[in-house]
Amino acid sequence: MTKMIEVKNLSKKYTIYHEQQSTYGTLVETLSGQAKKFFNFGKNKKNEKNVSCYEDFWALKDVNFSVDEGDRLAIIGKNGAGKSTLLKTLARITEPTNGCIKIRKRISYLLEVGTGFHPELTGRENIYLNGAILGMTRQEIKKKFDSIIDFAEVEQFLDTPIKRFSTGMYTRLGFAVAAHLDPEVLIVDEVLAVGDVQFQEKCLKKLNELSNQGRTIVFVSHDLSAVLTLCNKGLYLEKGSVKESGSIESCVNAYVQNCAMQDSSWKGVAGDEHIRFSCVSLHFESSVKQFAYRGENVRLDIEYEILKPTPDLVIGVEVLNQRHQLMARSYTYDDPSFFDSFLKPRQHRVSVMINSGQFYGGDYLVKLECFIHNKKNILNGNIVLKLPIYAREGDTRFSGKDGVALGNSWVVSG
Amino acid sequence: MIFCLSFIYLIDTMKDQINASFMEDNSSYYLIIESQKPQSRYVRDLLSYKELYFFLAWRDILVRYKQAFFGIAWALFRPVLCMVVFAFIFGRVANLSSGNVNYSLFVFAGMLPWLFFSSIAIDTCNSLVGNTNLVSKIYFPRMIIPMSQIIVNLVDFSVATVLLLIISVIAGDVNGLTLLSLPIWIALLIFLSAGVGLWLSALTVRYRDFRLIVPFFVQFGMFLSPVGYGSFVIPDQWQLLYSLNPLVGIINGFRWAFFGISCPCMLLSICCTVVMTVLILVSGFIYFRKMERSFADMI
Repeated sequence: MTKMIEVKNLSKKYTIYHEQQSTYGTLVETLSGQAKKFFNFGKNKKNEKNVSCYEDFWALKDVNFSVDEGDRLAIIGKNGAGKSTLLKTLARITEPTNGCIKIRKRISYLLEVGTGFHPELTGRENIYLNGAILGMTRQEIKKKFDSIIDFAEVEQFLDTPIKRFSTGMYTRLGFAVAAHLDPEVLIVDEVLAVGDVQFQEKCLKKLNELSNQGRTIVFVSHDLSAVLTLCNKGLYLEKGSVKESGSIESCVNAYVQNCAMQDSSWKGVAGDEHIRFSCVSLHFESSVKQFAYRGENVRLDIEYEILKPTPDLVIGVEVLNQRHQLMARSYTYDDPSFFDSFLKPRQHRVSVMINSGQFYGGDYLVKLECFIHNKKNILNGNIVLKLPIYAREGDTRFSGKDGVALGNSWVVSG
Repeated sequence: MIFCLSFIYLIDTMKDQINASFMEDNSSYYLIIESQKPQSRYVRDLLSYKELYFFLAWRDILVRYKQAFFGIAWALFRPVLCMVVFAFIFGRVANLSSGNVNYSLFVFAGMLPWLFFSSIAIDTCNSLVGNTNLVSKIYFPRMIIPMSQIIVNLVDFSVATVLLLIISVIAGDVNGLTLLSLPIWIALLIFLSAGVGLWLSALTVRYRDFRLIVPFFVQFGMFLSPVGYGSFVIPDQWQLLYSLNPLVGIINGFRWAFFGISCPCMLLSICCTVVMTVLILVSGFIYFRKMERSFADMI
């Protein structure tokens, strides 16, 4: 395997000025600064004051990794972890402060959809302009022109100035041009975050197509389920340094563990005079993994103590999506045979099996509910665990759209 | 320009080869990015992006004349209007001499290179800052942005030049053979504007003051250059100082090419122009290359 990209000890420093001084000072500031320096030559005391007005910020620190031919590398991390800076240094937009990058083949970059689109120009003109900016020749653009329009679905508006385009049309056109770059190595920043679900799916499909052709892709995204279906390698950045690299599974795992607000287990004391919860935890099929592939079983363990038996006490489990919409639920009173046994006044430990195959890929939340029927809510949503369910690599059908699957209920009846 | 580029290209490849002989394993790489080191393959990139150069120029021309009712006709209005005003003030009011040529044509020949130069100075100044979205989002040799302004203005310039040619042929003022030297003056003008454009575009990224300074100096410069008058008006003892303005030699050259008007210090001013042009172009190139790597962080 040849290494397409090698990054060694890459660091990037930005200097932050604390006074209202911007990075591009005015001419007068520089001139007066130079003059001051000149006149204060030998008197260093005054200069010490100036030192404190700026501060170094390392956007990237000692980043090492390499990308093999045909790899699909995902770069994940929180906002401000240095992902975009890393791409910008790879793309030669900014210069690294330290370290070096070796690139074997020509790389195409897609850091933004529709770079260099001019609002006054028509769709047709912008396709040529954008193509040229991305590094295509006129011949190439001419050849791919029809398929670009097909992909963007803007045929009607080809001769309309882009300023009259809707945001969706603009984005589609931008991605359409970039998708036809036909690169050996493609670096994609979070361009998929814009656009509707349909468009995102189309983009993912295109990227998948490229990766199936053996192209090398570096992909930055927050959408973990998209990352898991598309990529085989991962790089998890935090505060500018590499936290985890290697297989995509281990990186997503580390990211999920560190970054989400919720945990996959809860310990503490919650409840009232009737019931006291002490420990709630999710268990995945493999103990090192902190997420489930679709179809794997997830076990929710709940430990609690009944202090004062009440006949109307109910414990429930609700699965929510990221927007806190209820997807599925289960309560203790659903099953009458179980009803009495869990209310005895002693320590209890119960388990709920969640079949992750019921869900489409995405990040879900598991909320523990407990209430006295028609009377009182005991847990006010303070026990929420996260349950990431992802489709396996290559299985785009189930990724990126949360919801409950109806299952194989399709019958041909006519 | 092309000579210049190919020369730099040669040096570039030689440097690469020398580097390669030191580090043999690096020769198979397309690109190596290292901190604090000049980028390899800069000139090769400059050549491989040559289409972009024209695309950007094409974009600016399209945008400039889009939704303008008179369209490209503006390329004629501007110099003609200036000419009328100047011919009136200097020819009629101040009663300056223009040799045996119609004063309006005399002014027009000086106005052409001046307008070309001054609009490039103003346009390049805004070019990098105006294209922030390109500079901060994608790589290509940044030099393409200010340099494409030359093509944009070259369009206006050639339209106006053709107009001057037609009028002076009709008026019977054309000198004949000296006209063959016109390409030399145009080339000098382009090199000079390119050098100034490189300086100004890079400086504006660092110091936004230049967006305000340049239009101001452009107004002044019109009177410091022999646009409205002939350079023979200047007293002899001031000629050397006056010729330090590189436009003096070029405008003298234009008038000589069109009408055969020569002035006492013709040779001096031309020599000054050539030296200044080379100095400005080379230093501009070096300064731009030095600043270029931090453009994206500063802009």
